[in-house]
Amino acid sequence: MSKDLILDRVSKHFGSLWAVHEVSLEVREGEFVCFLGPSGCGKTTLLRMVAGFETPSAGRILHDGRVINDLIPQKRNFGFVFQSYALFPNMTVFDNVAFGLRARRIARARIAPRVDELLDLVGLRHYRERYPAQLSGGEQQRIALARALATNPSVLLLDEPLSALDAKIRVYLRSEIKRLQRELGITMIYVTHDQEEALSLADRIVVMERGRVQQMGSAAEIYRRPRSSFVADFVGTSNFLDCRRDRAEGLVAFGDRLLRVAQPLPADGEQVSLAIRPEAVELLETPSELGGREPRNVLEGEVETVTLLGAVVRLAVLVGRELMLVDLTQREFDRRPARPGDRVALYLPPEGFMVYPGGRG
Amino acid sequence: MALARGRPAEIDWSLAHRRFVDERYLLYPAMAGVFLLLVVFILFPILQVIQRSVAGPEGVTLANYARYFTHPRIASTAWRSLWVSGLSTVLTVSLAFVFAYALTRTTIPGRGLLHTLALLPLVAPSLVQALALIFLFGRNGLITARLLGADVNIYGWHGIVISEVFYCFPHALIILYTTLSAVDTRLDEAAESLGASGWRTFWTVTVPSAKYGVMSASFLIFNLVITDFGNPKVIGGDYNVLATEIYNQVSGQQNLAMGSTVSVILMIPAVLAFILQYYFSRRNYALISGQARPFLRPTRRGAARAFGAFCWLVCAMILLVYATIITASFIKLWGYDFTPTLRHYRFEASDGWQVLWVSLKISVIGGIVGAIFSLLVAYIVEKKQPPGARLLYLRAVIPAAIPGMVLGLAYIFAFNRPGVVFYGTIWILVIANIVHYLALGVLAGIANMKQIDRSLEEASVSLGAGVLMTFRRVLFPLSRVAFVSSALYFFMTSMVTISAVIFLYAPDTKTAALSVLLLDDAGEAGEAAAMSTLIIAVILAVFLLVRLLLGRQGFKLIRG
Repeated sequence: MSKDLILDRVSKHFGSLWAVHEVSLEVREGEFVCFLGPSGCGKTTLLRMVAGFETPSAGRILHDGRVINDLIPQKRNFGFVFQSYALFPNMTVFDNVAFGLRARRIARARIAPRVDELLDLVGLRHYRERYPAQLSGGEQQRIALARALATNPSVLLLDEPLSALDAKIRVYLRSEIKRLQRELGITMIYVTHDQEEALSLADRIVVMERGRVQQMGSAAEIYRRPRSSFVADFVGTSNFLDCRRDRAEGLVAFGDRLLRVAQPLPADGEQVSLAIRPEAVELLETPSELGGREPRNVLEGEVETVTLLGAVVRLAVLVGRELMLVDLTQREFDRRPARPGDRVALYLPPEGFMVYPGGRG
Repeated sequence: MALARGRPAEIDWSLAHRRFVDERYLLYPAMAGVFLLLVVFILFPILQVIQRSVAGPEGVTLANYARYFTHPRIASTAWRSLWVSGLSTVLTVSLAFVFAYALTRTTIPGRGLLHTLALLPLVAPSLVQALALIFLFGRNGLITARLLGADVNIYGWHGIVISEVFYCFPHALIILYTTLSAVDTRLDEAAESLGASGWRTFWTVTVPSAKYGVMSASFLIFNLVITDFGNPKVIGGDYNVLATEIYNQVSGQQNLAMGSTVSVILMIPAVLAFILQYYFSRRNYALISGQARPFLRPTRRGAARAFGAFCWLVCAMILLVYATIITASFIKLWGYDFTPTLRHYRFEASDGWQVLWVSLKISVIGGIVGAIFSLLVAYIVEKKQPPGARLLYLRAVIPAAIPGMVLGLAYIFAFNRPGVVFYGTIWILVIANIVHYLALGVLAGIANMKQIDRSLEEASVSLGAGVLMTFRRVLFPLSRVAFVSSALYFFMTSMVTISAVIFLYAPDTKTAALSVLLLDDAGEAGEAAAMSTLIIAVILAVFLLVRLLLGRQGFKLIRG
């Protein structure tokens, strides 16, 4: 029997507030799952229910084929890593990592080698005798990881573990966590509001909003085929166009003009919301330079700002009253530079659209 | 990597077979126990007092209250209490405010020493000030009779007020010091940079921003003075206030009904002042939490001289009180024969060393039990928050409002009956002291628990530690500093309190502070001074001992 973790219509309410609403999910053994969503979406509450810090109001949580709703946290042996590190300030690094081993009344002679093994794993053995306050935030979180892994947990739960750290250390520790997960083959559930973190870490991402699961899937699926305008907006960046359905097949009205859309439109509703990623928008040399493109989908506008985002250059182009973001690679930008005030022509490929019912929000 | 899963195989990583104590099985009985204790030792006794005050031969009657207000001598005690308390409050808070301002906002030298000296009156019973005043300004007073040859009568309301100012000064200073050191001085600088004069800045910025602290200190002092028994008893002469009137009615005239009536009347302003003090201190702390203390500019020379002179004068007076008491304990007969002697320390008029030993026992037990109990209540209220936690909190904080005299009287009614085995033993005194001072212990405990993040406890349980291990290895070590200061607080108050125990002692459970009162009453001023000196010495010695034993560890904890 594999040690899968199953959430079956799990809900949690605090008074009249539904923090988590009927979430169902299977986490396979060894899988890396991210709960992603804005603050207050219920992702942390869901994680805390898995840890046993909160009890579900309805639904079941199963692990290894057993319902664990009412199992106390001690008996779950799930490691937990906190945003605040939660190292015991009154103990040395060694005693912190040994804490779970001592709780298991493991023979003294076997504790030290195990602690050292874990400290080696996070590369901080030389800090054995230090106190947490003497370490940097990143080092503290690595000790917290070692402490959570020391008791050989079957699942490691991480609650925004990198949110309190500087950007550089965040990226470094992100790769460390991924490495640990690969090496140990341990199941991890990782809560974050940072889409970049989720996209780079997870085998599977669970996007949550207002207590409900909006979409579940691999990073590529979530990014390429967001199932709702919320996901399209929250994961990555999207331009939104509020359109109306047109009588003609495959066309929608955007203001006073028609756009061709490759995807099928929703079954009903007059309003249609189109989303397109900034990198899917093309910048044309001239409005006439079509080369087999759909002539309806060319929009003209004026460049407002040009922002360098590292490998990518982002233009903000005013089209009518809408601001459209366009991402160009450095090479594309070099070939066709643009400055604020320039008139440009944008091409929105029909197959680049994501289509959602109704107006947004 | 060598970290193969499940190795070593025989370790029960999952803890599946370990039996854990369900937290609820500890929490609910503990809470029920605490509730029961608070009902038995607070609610029930206080209700007894109220009931006695309205009990008549034919059921409930207000006859006692009618008698109180129609009897001119007794009725005057209420107005006297209000007058003495009001005047003492205004004087104490004004002096303490200037002192706190000098300590926090000026750069006069020796601020650390001044601060320590100003807090000295905390370690003495509330009648030592009055005793010293009599030595200095009484009929045979050193200053009045010997130096000036004047015939001044210090007994009466002015004597009470002066003693109370000395007694209450450190209490007001603690609150105002915290307030003024936390209020943002950048506001003052902003006001000055806009062209306001120093004086104008003081009145329009500094004072308003400290207003909750001033209100909080004022109501605390009012409560302290109106409930104080020691000073008015010693120096009041025939100027009777409510607290001394309770004593007259109960001990002098055996009139328990009238004693209860006066008690209820005393409780009204005392409880009111406490509630207001509590309200303002909450607003004050909401205002001052976690602000940085910016750099102070050097104070102008003239201002520095004035503040320095004021502060050293105040400290000199405080030292004079102590020096007088200590000197009086080592000379033959104050006012007549100033030959040095150790005679008073033989305690011929009282069994002094035995009394001191009883006090020490009561205070050590009270310190430890009080600290444990308040930590437990704080833990339940702040960390566990079960249903009813709010009620528990109120129960624990309310006794601070109850005057010690009233609590003592209430305990007579509640526990002076057959079958109550602890009545007449030191335990009734221990309990009375803990209950009387519980609020501050609990509030300090809650403040400490608030600082311990919830995630530490969760980290502990997710690592497999049970409730007891979590408490022993994580929560208690992180509360140790708070625990020790709480224990010292209960120890100190138990050593110096008079009002809560005056009705409760038996011949063999007389405490040192009570003994001072009784010796003074019996005209044994020298021995009273000797006993006061011993009390102060014991408290200072215990403080020093704790500092030496735990100091380093305690500081490491705060730093680490």
